Amino acid sequence: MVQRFKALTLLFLVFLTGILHAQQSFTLSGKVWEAKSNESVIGANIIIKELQTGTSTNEYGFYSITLPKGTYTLIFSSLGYKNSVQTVDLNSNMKLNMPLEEDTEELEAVEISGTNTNLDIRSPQMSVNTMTVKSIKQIPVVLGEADVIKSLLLLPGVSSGGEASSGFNVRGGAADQNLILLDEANIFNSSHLFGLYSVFNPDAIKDVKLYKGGIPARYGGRVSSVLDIYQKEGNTREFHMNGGIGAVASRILMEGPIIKDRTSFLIGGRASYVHLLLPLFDVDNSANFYDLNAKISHRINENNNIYFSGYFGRDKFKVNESFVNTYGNAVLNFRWNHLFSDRLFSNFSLIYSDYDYGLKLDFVGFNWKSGIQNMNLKYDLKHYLTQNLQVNYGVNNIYYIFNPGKITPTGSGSGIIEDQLVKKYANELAVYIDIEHEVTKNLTLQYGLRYSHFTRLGQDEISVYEDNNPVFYNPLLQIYQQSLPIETRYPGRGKSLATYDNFEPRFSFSLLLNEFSSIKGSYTRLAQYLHLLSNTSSPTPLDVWTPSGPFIKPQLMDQFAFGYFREINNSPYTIESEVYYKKLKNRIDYIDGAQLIANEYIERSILNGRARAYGLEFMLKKNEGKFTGWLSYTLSKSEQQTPGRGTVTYNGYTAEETGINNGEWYNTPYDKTHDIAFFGNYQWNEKWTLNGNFIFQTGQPTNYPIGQFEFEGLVVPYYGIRNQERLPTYHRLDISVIYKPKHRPDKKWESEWVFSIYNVYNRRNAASINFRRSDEGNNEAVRIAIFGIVPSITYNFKF
Amino acid sequence: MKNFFLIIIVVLSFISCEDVVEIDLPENQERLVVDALLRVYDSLPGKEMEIRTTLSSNFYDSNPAAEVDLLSITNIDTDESIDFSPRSGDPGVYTAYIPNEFLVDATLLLLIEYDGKTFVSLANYIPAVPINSVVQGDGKLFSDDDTEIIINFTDDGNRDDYYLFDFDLNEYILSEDSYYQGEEFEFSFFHEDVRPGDILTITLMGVDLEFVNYMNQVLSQSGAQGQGPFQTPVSAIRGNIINISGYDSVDNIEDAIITDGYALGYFAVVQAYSKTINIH
Repeated sequence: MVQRFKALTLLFLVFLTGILHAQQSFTLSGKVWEAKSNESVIGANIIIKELQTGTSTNEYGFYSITLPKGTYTLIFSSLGYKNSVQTVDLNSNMKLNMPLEEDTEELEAVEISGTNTNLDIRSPQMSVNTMTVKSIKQIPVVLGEADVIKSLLLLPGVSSGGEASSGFNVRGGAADQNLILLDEANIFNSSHLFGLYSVFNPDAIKDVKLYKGGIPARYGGRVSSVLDIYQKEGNTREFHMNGGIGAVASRILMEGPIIKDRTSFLIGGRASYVHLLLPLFDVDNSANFYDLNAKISHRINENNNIYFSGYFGRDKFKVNESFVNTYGNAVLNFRWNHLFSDRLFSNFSLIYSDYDYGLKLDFVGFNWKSGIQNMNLKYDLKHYLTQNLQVNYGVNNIYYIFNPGKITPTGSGSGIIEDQLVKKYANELAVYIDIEHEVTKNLTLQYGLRYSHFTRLGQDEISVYEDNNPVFYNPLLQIYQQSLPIETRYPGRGKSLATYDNFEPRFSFSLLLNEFSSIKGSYTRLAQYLHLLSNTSSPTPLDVWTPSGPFIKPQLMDQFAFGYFREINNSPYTIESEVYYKKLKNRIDYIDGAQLIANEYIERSILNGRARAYGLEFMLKKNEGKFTGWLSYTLSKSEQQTPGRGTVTYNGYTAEETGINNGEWYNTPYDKTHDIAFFGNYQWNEKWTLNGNFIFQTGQPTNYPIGQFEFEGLVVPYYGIRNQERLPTYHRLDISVIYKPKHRPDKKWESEWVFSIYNVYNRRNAASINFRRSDEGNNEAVRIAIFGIVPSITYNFKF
Repeated sequence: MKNFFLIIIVVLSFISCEDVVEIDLPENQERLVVDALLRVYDSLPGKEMEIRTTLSSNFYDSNPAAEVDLLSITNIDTDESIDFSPRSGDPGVYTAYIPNEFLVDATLLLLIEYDGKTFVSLANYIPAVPINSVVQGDGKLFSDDDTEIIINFTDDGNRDDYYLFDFDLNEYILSEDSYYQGEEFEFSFFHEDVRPGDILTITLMGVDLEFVNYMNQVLSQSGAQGQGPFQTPVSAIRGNIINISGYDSVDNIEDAIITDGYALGYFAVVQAYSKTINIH
């Protein structure tokens, strides 16, 4: 048996000697898929009853396990499917593909005495939440449109800036620190309609996984979390169609075989109604969005599968033809799964993705276009060495083109001169190795290392500053000001302006205390080379991404997490509790009055600061039975600090830099002390299902004026230390009822009605408090609440 | 581009609801506020300039006038000074007739003595360009009540310019010439609350980058932008008026010690061009 290898030795062995053979062992491998559609099942557990061990399927439904010769009882299980038990006589390498039947009856799980089928307790992977599409569709949301990101907000450690704010925050991290992957492609903007919806069509999605910590070495590039979403492959057995008609949007999805059992297609679309906001203005305007998902999956043979997938989404927002705003993501993706052997799985991905933002302002006479493009090449291998050892390794290269903005005149009458803000280019290369190692029956380790190398490539033009300092501290006025360049250089595309190298170690362990409980711990270091320029509380669609370079340093995060996981003796209840501590270097912060939009010289408004976050998360979950759901609680703190950089002398004056916010720590806009969320689903009978969720959280940090003054006829509130105050406590209850008319066995058509009420008791949760002068001339504080009580109806169908 | 934020906010505020709430605010630390934006017009040889001094207050209260002991402006290049005197019946307002040649192309020092403290500020004269025309258009942005004002001017191609536009009724727009360097340029502003028969004075002023940064903060914190999800970080809005001790004359101002009790407000000397328009 292979045991106690040091990481480096192991690395050496893996690359030099290739596959290691354990004595008298054979490999059992195969795929797990859904019986009706051939759709592969991600994360299905395969338990070997006799050995009290097991494995699970990867993102493509593949599993491999090497066992000593013998006869074994295998239990295949996955949430929402019936368990399947199979006895095998393992005396040679074996392929075993397992179709799983959907568990429509919602019966109590079949208990297999003395066997804990929950591998999650055992796995060193912690700080991860998996959401099934089924529960995403059950969670009541505003205006009835099932939504991935809004559902994530019910998990511990996940929050957002409010109802109409883009993105989400994980464990006190910023929204730009989430790596959002759709079929392995980076998605740069996850929201439609300024955050009312997310860009993922729930019909097209198979699996959603959120890593909040203990992030495996195969992921990198963002420091806070990884949201890994896989689209369905498409049914290779028969043609199906499903869809829904909702209050805001409608969607339709078609899937089916092109060549039966071999090639399938999936095409889905979703569009909102053009007139969504129309009645709200008395002028011509519209706000709408649509997205398209498409995929072709093809099985070449037992050992080779290829996938083409694409996503295209756009938001369009128009006022009177004089203001037209269009933005969205596009993703094109080719993947090739290849099995070198029954123990070596590989996936090659070639991905192109971009995010475009366009704006036409007729009354100023210009068009604006900005965006980010990237070409991503990934090669990942999973090496199932022995029963106790799995090694994942791979390489990833991403080439980025950043377009901070291009301005063009709308017509000949406009005085605007066409101008392209200097485009930026960068390349991010990473290699990683990640080892899952079952050291003893009770101790499992996962350790790995990611090495990332970032190059900020040359560009047409770059400013040079005195003392290499683009932000000048004026000791006279005691404020930060933009430096003026002393020269402009034209380095050209061939040169590199800055390079950064980072080693990112990852380590986690799980120690089984007994059959039903374990403790887990992890340390994660992550590097992030891209920054979203956003000084608003939550990102806006026009925020641009900028790479690290000579002035902006990469963000470096260290996270420690520790947890206790328990399954309550043979009952469907599980408890997950974790504590974490995060430390972030080089979090960018903006000087007072910084203008980020169309700012060609963004370095003149940015200082490098730091951030930290810590917290406790608790989740009680019931996975099976008539009633399922969870209760989560998070207690946390998230702060940032941008201290001064030392002493400055200017015109004979000397002063100590104050830093931003007097150099003191201050709450990030997404610091929420308490966050309680409950979600429950009750299957009353075959026809009726009830769902409810309740959220209670500390109001988000905000600012109240410490005073006011008058200047040029304007009444100006002014502020002190940042984010000292808080909005009132946020709480809300949503319910929904799903009615499924009796399905007639002779008809293929199935349908359901979803009746939902958002914000049942009509709580006016403050999205913000504005301080302004009223029309009567006195000053007042005004609370803005986005949604009161919102009832809605959605009709879903499939055949 | 600022308008964009405004538009998002407006959209959100249409689907949202507002109500006035009682919020207890932190105690204000009272500061001197100086409103000293001196507009220099080519069309006149000189003009009575006005500087207003008040005290900052709690947000819900009004700002009391501050009666200063001394208020003067010194031309650093010529060492000449002009003292301002209080306007009778209008506390906190100080005036002085200043000929244009005193201000044009000069570096100027504002000196204020108040409550035993000395406040100073330096400003350079910033030139502007004339307005070609101001006309009323018939475009609408948000509502049929919008009144479109189209301003046209020709930028000076030999320098980087920043402009402050005063559209009257306390509506201001900031702009920089990087996208219309040396070009004839026009854009529209939409007034919400004007009626036929109103006469508006539209002013174009030349300003510098520091003042743009200052005025940006003033506009965003005073305006309708509010503190929504798209709020930008708020600040104390420090201007360019500092509190010093140990000052005795302009010649040895470098020896003075800067203390923490800075004043709010701003001192700027700008070239300005105005046109009036009759709303029809």
